[in-house]
Amino acid sequence: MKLIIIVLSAIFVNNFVLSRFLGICPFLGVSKKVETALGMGIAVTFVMALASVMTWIVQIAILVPLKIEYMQTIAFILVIAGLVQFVEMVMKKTSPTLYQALGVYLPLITTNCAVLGVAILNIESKFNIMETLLNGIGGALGFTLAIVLFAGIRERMELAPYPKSLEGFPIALITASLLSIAFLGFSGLL
Amino acid sequence: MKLWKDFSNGIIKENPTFRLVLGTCPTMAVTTAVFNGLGMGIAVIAVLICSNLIISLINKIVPNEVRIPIYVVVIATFVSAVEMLIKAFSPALDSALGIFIPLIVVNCIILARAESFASKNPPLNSIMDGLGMGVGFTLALVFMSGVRELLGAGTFLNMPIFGAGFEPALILILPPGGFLVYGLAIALFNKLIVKKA
Amino acid sequence: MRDYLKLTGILLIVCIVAAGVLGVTNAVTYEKIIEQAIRENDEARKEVLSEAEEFNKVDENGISDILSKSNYEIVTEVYEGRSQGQTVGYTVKTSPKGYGGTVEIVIGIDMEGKVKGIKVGENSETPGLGKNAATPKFQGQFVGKDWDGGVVLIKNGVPKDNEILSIAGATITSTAVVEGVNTALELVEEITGN
Repeated sequence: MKLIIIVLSAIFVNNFVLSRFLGICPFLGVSKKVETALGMGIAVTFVMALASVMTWIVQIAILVPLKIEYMQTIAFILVIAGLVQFVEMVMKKTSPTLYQALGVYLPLITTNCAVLGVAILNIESKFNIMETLLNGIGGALGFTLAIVLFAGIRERMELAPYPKSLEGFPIALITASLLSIAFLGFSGLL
Repeated sequence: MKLWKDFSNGIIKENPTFRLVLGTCPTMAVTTAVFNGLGMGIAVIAVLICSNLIISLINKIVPNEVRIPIYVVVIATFVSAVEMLIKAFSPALDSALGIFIPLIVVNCIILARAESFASKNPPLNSIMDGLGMGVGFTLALVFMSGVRELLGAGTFLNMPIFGAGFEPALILILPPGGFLVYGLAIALFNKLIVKKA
Repeated sequence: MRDYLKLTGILLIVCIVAAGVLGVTNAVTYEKIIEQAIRENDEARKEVLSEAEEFNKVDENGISDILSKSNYEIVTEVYEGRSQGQTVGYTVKTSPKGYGGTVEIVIGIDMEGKVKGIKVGENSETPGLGKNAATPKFQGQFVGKDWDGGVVLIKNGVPKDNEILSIAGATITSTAVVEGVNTALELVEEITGN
């Protein structure tokens, strides 16, 4: 039961993008087309699930026993950067088609704060490894849901007339605001 | 004169928040109150100045292939140091900013300045650039948090401003308000300042 | 291959320097951080049980069979407040689950089993809604309540003796605080054996 709540909470109630403000850069940057948004979402899901587990292991197996928890930020960002590189290499070797589809998004993920964010949140919430994995996957699915919905709206907005000052980021942010209001409706879910 | 230009560049012409639209996550997440916005701004100024300085100093001896990982390590070091200092001297700020202090590491403003400015310019200019970018970021955060706190909670720096009859528009300090105020602020900035320049 | 080694070496050196810098910062700030946390706790205890002059942590072995009951899972600390050599009350720290994670609450209870004060501490509740649990208006409602069936949360109307009016728009947070206070009341009741 607790596990289901963690997943639902990460996807809907505490959606990473729309209520926790994590991963806004790719959310605004890679959301002009549904197709690329979906690609980004899948790449993030993959990395976030792996990163959640890896950073959790680093924390429990290295940082805590050595009493160097203050190295957490540095260790986590290096683990994530290394992981992204590793995923890129493996993907290139084993599945060129997948690499072609997702390759361009991978380097961007290192600086996606949702990945580092979920890693730190897992430790702060004192999750065990199963909860950590599910929180990572749930958070990433929430990210994917938000970015795909957002891209869908933006595709249609292309044709809509709006004031010149609002062109570009302003209108995108206002759209995101409305989407965020919609997600507030999930508040009472759990 | 060149130093002054490096400094003022970040405040209006290339304001990181409103013009370059970098570092968006903390911009919206912490601007629910002016105190938080100001605290975040100062933390970022400190990290930006230090990382710009160090990166400008070491850029000659850093091999090109591994420069990005090295920049990230330098930045993460300063962020961790700032985090410990905040915990030690201002626990209130620590609990208000929470997870967004370690996340300064992935604030794109800092890496972007390291890569596009500090790695190509002398130390003093890099410090000025860091200071200017940091001040521009802080001003933007204070402006946004001012609007949100005033209208969303009816207070400024936690002091009530309006009489008892004022019903605050709560939505502004909730997540949607972050997106909305940010969007409108960029539009306003473009309209008022960029047109003139 | 030699290039490869050189790059790895440089990265390693950078990491070692970074670790050194952080180690020093940590050494300088570590005690201060611990001190801050202790002081914050001390101040919270004084605030909710002002009669007491000093606080002693209650020996956990002495009450371990009480604390091990499942309904006391959320209790994190129990202190005994003393004044002029006499026990004047207890402070209990609980961490019930709120809307955005756990909510820390310190509750001061006197020897008659009545709440003297509560303080809502660290929490991740929504600003403007759940965060309002830390206001004097909400916290003050709990003063004088005792363990007689416990405190009951109501959503609107005029609260009766054992009732608390919920914070508007933050029922989950209010429920969490009430749960924390009830747990503390029950625990002190059991410790004092009233």
